[in-house]
Amino acid sequence: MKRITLFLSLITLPFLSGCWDQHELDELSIVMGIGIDRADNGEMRASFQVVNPSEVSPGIGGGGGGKQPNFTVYTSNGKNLMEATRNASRQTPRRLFFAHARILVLSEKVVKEKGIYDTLDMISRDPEVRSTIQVFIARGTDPGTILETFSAIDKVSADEVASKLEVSEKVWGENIGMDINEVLQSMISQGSEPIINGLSLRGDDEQAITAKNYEAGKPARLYLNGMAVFKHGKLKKWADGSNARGIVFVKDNINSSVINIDCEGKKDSVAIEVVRSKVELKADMKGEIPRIKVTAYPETNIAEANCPADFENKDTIFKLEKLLNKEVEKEIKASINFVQKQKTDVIGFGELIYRTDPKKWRKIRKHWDKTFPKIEVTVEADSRIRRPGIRTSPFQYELKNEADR
Amino acid sequence: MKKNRNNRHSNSMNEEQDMPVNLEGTSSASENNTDDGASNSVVSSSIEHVITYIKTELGNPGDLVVRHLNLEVGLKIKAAVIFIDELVDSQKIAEFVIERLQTVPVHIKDMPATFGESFYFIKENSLSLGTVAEIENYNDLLDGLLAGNTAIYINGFPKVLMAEAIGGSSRAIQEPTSEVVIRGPKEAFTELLKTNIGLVRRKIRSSDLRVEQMKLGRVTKTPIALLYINNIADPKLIEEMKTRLERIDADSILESGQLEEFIQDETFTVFPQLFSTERPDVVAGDLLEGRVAVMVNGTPFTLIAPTQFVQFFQSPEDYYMRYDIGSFLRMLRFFVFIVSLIAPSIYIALTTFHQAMIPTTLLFGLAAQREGVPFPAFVEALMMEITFEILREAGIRMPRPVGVAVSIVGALVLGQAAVQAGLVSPVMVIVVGITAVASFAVPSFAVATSARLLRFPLMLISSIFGFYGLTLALIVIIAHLTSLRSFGVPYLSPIAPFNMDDMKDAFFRFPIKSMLKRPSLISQKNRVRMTNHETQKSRGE
Amino acid sequence: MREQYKISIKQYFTLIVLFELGSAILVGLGMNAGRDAWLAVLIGLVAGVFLFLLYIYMFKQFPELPLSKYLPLIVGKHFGKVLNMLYMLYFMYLAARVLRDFGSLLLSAVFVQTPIIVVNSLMILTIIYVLHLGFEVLARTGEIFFALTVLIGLSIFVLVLGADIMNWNYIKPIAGEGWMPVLKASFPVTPTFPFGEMIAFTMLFPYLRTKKKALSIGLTAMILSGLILSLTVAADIAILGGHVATHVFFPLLSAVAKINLGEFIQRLDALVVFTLITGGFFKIAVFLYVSVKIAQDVFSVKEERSLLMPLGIVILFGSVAVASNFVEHINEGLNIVPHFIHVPFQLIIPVFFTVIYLIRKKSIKKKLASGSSTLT
Repeated sequence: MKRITLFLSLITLPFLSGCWDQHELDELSIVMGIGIDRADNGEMRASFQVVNPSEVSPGIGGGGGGKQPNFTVYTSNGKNLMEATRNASRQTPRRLFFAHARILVLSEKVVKEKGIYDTLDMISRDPEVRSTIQVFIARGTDPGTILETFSAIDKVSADEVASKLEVSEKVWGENIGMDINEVLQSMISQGSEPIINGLSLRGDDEQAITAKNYEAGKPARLYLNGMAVFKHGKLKKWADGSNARGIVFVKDNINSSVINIDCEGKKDSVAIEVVRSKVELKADMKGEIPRIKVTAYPETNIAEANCPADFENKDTIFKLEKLLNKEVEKEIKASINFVQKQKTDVIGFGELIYRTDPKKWRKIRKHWDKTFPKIEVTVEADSRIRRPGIRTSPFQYELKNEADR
Repeated sequence: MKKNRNNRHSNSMNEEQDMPVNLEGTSSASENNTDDGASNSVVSSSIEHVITYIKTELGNPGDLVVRHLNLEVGLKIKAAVIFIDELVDSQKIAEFVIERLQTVPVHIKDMPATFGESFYFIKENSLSLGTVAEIENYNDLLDGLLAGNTAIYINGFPKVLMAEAIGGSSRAIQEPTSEVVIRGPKEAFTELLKTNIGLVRRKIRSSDLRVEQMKLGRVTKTPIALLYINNIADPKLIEEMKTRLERIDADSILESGQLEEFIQDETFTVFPQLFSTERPDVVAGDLLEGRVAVMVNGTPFTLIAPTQFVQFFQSPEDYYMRYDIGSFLRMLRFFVFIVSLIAPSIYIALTTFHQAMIPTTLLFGLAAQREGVPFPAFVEALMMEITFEILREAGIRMPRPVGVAVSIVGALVLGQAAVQAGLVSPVMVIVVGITAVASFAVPSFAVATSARLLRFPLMLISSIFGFYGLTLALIVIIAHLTSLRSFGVPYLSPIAPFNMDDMKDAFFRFPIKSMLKRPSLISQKNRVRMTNHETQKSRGE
Repeated sequence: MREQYKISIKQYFTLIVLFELGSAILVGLGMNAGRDAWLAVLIGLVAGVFLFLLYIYMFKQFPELPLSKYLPLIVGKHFGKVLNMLYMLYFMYLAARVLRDFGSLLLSAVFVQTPIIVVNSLMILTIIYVLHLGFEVLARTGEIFFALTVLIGLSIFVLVLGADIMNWNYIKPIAGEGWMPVLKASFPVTPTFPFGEMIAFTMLFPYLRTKKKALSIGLTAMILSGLILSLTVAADIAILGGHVATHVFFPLLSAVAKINLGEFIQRLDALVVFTLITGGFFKIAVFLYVSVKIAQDVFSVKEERSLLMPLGIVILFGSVAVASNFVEHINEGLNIVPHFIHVPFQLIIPVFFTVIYLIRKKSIKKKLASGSSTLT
């Protein structure tokens, strides 16, 4: 009898409970990108890039295909992000599903004027949004337009942007992937500030948001454009080009990059491919103001040489290494100067000092803002050129030899 | 009456313990059961009486053959050879009984002078059959006839000779149908108990192999044999098995499956608690591990006890192939079992609760396929699973040539059509297909059936509570498995309770040389299987 | 009444590890110490070991008796009964708390709209079913799930290494704010939770098959689980950073969520939730069983099974009633329970009756010797 009661209660329980959190796949709008902006009346404006799965997935499914866009963007306003999100349900036929969102795009204007703080809480609180969502700032355009832009290769532009970042991080080194978690961590912890990638649109704005964009020979494209340096939660300045790469170098996030050096008096004629790099940071705590020593150890290959140099001679290589050292030192030095000028510790020198000497840090952390620009930083590079590709000397060297003979 | 019968059977079993193949159906004549009523009275010494008695008791059936003979064995005797057609080998009877009786040698000096002497004379000189027994009451006479023996009655003496010439049509030894192997013996048990015992004896030629016989079923009187190896099997286990068998009081035992239900430990479970096999090599291997086997006349499936869950994942082939591939295949089978159990549940849980875990690109694909499917994922899965079960059942029941056609039509055409009609999504067809194939890869049909049954509640719970429900349901299943015992041995051993030594033959199949001992929970005393080859070698060097 | 099942030494080990990790691995243990939380866990372990030694000492004095049977011997029949009642309520309260922990975890991670009572009752029903099959079944199931947990734990560890998401700079410097904050965060939270909760095992020691190993194996299991906990906390911080790790309710979950291998293996947090559930399952089951055992002595009930359902239901409703919201629940867990509930039950009362025992040692031994025939 007892057995039966137990059995019955087990059986009936599921039926009583119903299906609160069950959602069939066709009841979901899969959001791939989230954009946050402010409307003119000061309300929060959220944009969601939602995929149309039957257009995006290969093979069976939608059938005919090509008649509907790959994705669509919903935009709605609200007093805060949550209200804006729920407000969007008036437009969306299905429940917005955030678990697969890959990018979060913030408006440049907003983070410059109002700061980043108000935008991040809901994203980090919602259990659905993954903590690996990449954060970007729409530079020179607005998040809505970025999300609406049709992409040429990947079917969903949010996906494409995230992949662009991954590739560029791996081979170019002017950007570091920053997910929401890292942004929060660097924002809160004393002695470091966030640094967030910029995203821009190049080409015809009008055409970008129409389906014509991926049919056009010269489509409008999204591209990574520098990194935003923050101070107290507000965008302070954009770090571009070598400044950006210098920061990435010091943060020890370089996977691979290209550095040009002079050769035989020809400017920038040798391209050096950085294969991997390691950076050592040391803080010298003696004295009132700590001193920091940065030592970089890039490992490189010769990727291109447009000059008549003899690569079979090891002295040539050593010469190149010295030039490379100077180039790297210059770049890092310049970027540190840039950061110090902005008075924002995106590299995390404060963290470094805290790690080396917590007691000292506790003394100086109150006026770290003032101390940071005064810190004396010495930069040293000790690079290695491992191999010159599959060729020995460049053919220009042979040409020169022929001519000499 | 009932008790008496059972007593008799068990007693007879004990007495005939050492007789390897005893006379089918004749229990020992020495026993006195005179108080058992008229049927047990001593055979009359008049031929008319005897024949009338047999005819009335059996209802004068058409297949009862009574051959009257007039013999000259010293004195003139009326005799009769009585048997039931189709149960006996009539050629044997003609050649070795009737012909021999009719050509009694006349040159012998000491010809019998009384009916009694001629009875013994015939028994000793005139019957060239292996097994001949004396019987003195009607009950045994009827039992013997119904078991397929031939009665030879000599007028004037109150005893009957029972000669064994069992025949009739039976199946030859064939390849196993449900436990096919690529490498290994290709013989399977048949329906005849004698043959089956013989098949095992041929594998274990040891004087310690014991075969105890008894009869079960008040009406069917099915012969049953209990096999074990004397100094390996635990005596307590043998005793327990005997008690459980003797406790059975049923009209009929037609197949070992019925017997299984009588002697298993727990009724309310979907898991088989006794291992059944139709392969003599499996029985031999299990006997050598210290288990006991129960054979039932009329079925090729032999029961083995005690049973451990891992047994259902062991194929005899594991031991005939190299240990590495054996281990790989065994792990594969466990995996396959889990797949066949929870694959649809995982699909349901993932697509209705945990979409976050699906890789993005795959999610697009799944979502696209779900577009336009009118049912929730659970109903979709349930429909496909039930359709598949119908197809499978139809495929088995249909005549063989049609069955194949049904499977093909079902699998290919129906699936394709259902997808095109938008009733199910293509992925669901894949999931159900994988589940189906997986359930066929489990070597034991019995345990594959458990997975089939459990699949549905698991699908239900994961459609309501996602992985949470599935996790709890799996906890319940595992707890249930650990609570089961088969003849005192924990069902899930050696996994829980964990035993390192026995694990060598559970998920893996270690090299034979390293499995020095028999399973610890099965054999209690005689545990050493082989000498340690490694130490021997090092000693030799 | 069936014969009391004996716990094998392997089962003892696996039960302790599952019990210790149970809910502790889930909530940020010692996170008040910021990036030194892992140190706080180790300090807790050391202090917890001393508590364990105290429990083992009392067990050695009464190797045949569980806590609920030797308490009346030491402090007298009536006062003993009161203490037993208190302990029963204590264990039930702990069970309810763990149940609440897991209910909240599920609710905040997966079942946002489902009422907590539904999720919890499913759990408690499963536990009642398993305990209904006997403690033996629980112990054996523990062996299997221990193996599974080890397997999943190791594979997650490999995945974390493979995803290369740990930044050990996050946990440096060690004790950067000085040792005081670390100690403050440790006492009394980490020694009492989860290490001091070993007091529940005082009810199980007498049922060990090899009583001699109660100390050595128990200590090994405790130290192993302490190290695992400390490592997990350290990894949480290294993955999430000190700030995020200390400001999420379930750091382990957030940490695992960061695993992303080639966009294929991702969002493992949902999977981890269900591995964690098994840990919680065993913890609640042990607490429930132990309180049933005490209740059996207090109310002199013969069949322990008949108590499972009523106590289970009390725990179920208790788990909903312990706090009106999750924040209150966590606050109680960190600030109130350790001071006002754990410390008395794990330290003060045991020390109290140990002292009484030492004073009245002779008379108690005599009583035990004379009453042994009636007791067993």
